[in-house]
Amino acid sequence: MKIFLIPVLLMLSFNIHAADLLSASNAWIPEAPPVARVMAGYLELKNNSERSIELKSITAKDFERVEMHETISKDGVAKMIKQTSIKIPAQGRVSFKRGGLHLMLMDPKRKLKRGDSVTLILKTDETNTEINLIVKEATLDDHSAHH
Amino acid sequence: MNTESKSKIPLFAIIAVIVLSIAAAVWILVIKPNQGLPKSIENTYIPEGRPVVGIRMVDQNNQPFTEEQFKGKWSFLFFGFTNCPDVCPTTLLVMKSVWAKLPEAAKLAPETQLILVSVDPDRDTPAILKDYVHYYHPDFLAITGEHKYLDILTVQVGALYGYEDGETDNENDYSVTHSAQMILIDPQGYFRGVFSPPFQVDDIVKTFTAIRDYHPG
Repeated sequence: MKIFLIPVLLMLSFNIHAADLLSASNAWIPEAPPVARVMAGYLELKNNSERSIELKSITAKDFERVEMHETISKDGVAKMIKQTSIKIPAQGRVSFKRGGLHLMLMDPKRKLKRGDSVTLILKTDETNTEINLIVKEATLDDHSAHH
Repeated sequence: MNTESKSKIPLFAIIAVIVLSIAAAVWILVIKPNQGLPKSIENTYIPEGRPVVGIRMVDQNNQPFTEEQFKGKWSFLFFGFTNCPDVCPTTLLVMKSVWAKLPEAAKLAPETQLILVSVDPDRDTPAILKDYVHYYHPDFLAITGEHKYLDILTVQVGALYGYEDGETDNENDYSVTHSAQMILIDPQGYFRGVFSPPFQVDDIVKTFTAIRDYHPG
């Protein structure tokens, strides 16, 4: 009997790992003026696997389009560079934060107020990972101290 | 949308900024050591200043905005656009905090205005600008104008802006590149200072207060 359980347990543990390939923390969206057609998304992504992962695209049903951008400030001029993919090294982390790499959430399909939750689907070659971002009051605090 | 107005940063603007940079370098290296400016403002304050003229913009109430609106108040100018998710909201949040601290610092707020200059007049109408800046603070102003008038303002204060096409055919799909500094104009309407990012609320309050103390009149 025991001998049959082992493969089942192995499969279960594999599934848990697959779902956990990428995990997000401090995932939030600063509330924006209702007229704003774009919002930013900030979060920290962790690759829980032993190989590097390439984040290829992101979708969300609450937005027309989601892009990954990096704010580059050079000679006092701010510029946003679209990133077609983001590599996350094995067991590594990537931060999407103010003034750096960030998510650009374009054309919201509903009015998003503080407290609302938005689901994003992160797509790699292997998996789709669902994560939730919470809309919070826009403050200079990066909310990373909040648990 | 014609392609001319959506081109990259125009050559004359680049030349203007190079000339201004050389002038700034000469000022910093040669002239400034003799000025005896207080340390707290030497990286921000421009002793000689320059009048800002020929301003023909519209404000968030669709009213004309000229250089007369600079007179009698200190003005912080910030260049941006409302479809900007990262840099512009962050700067407006910084200035919201600065505003909250100004009355404590020196009871200066009533004589000070924050003006968002939208360099994206094709998308940012006065009505949109009004809702946008008022979300951050009811006293904040926003102005915009035709490209030729935007250029008259930006060239005089050494600011740059430009556009880059997005990937879709949608003519509204483009991103805006813009100067991230904050410009200070004095109550006589002179270009008087440059605050450079990254912005720290307390630094801005302290430096601005020191400029107010130092500046004649």
